[in-house]
Amino acid sequence: MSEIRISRQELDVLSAMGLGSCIGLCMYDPTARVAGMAHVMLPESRSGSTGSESLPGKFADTAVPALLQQMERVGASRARLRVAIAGGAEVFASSSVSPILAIGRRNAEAVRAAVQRIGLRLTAEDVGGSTGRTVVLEAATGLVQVRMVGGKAADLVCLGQAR
Amino acid sequence: MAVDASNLTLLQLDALKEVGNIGAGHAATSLADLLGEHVVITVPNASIVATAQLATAVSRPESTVVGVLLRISGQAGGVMVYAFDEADARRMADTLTMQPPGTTQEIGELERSMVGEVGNMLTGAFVTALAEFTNLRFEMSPPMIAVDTLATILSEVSVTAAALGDYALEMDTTFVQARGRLEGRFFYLMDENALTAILTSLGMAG
Repeated sequence: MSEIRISRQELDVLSAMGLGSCIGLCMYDPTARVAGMAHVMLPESRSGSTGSESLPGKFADTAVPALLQQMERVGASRARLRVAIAGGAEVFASSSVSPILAIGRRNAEAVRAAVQRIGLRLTAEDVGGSTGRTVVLEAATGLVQVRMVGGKAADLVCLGQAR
Repeated sequence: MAVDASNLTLLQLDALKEVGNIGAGHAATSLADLLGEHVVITVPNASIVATAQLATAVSRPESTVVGVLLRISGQAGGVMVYAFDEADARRMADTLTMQPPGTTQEIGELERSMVGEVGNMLTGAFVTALAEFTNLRFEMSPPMIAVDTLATILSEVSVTAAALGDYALEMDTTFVQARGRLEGRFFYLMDENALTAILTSLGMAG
């Protein structure tokens, strides 16, 4: 969780499981065929949590530039990048277990804002609701699939295809 | 001196498992009262898992479970999660409503409430055993029920619950009744000082 992973291997599939309020951030360069994913847990690295240096993928504001940087290092180009996100649900409405309010919505907003700050827009998103998701990104094609509990995987978007 | 949770000795782990067994004994008594039939609860496995790996290290992380969650506060706090596979939860509902196995087809509000009560009772039995063994104080919040994958529930707890430490106790529990077996997976995501507090009071801080 919260690590950033990238791949240029054709057979690779990147996935983020158990996305409740977390956001699975997927980025894909269709020309260089570089896939990247971050499992974002919290909106901002200032919120008192530790680990923003060692785990930039954990926070929306650090994950987006960190993922971009790692992908650029292996040949991705920012201008070509296409982005999709999934997650941001409220699995536990505010409770004694989970007192943080609306964390799912705040994560989604923070990721959208961070994507905008690097000059990009979301190609697709599947966020909200109250159920957990798993998101899968295929390195060969940029296909993004989302699976919700008890359901089958559904295609969200193919980031490898031309607009 | 803080216990190194990544390096627990077999003796320390056995001590925790023993607490689990005692708790299981208490729980079996309460459950037998509730069900009106003999129940044996066994704790085949106990282990300490790093919270960061929890959601992906458990078996069948993507299976749908009914999870009962409680916030534990006091001298060794944290969050406890008792998770039943969806099929087992339905069978539990059948037993509780005295219907033939296979009657309950889905987890609705009533089923959530029933499983919540059972999970609450079982967790309470474990906390009572822990309190008896350690002489530490514990309070339990009312239970919260979530129906989702185990991966989502555990990762959600580890991300959103405050003050959690780096380690969780995981115990598999098996309920054996005349009509069959059920399994429940129990997790105790401990606050930072909880493990040290528990092992210290068990005289096993090493």
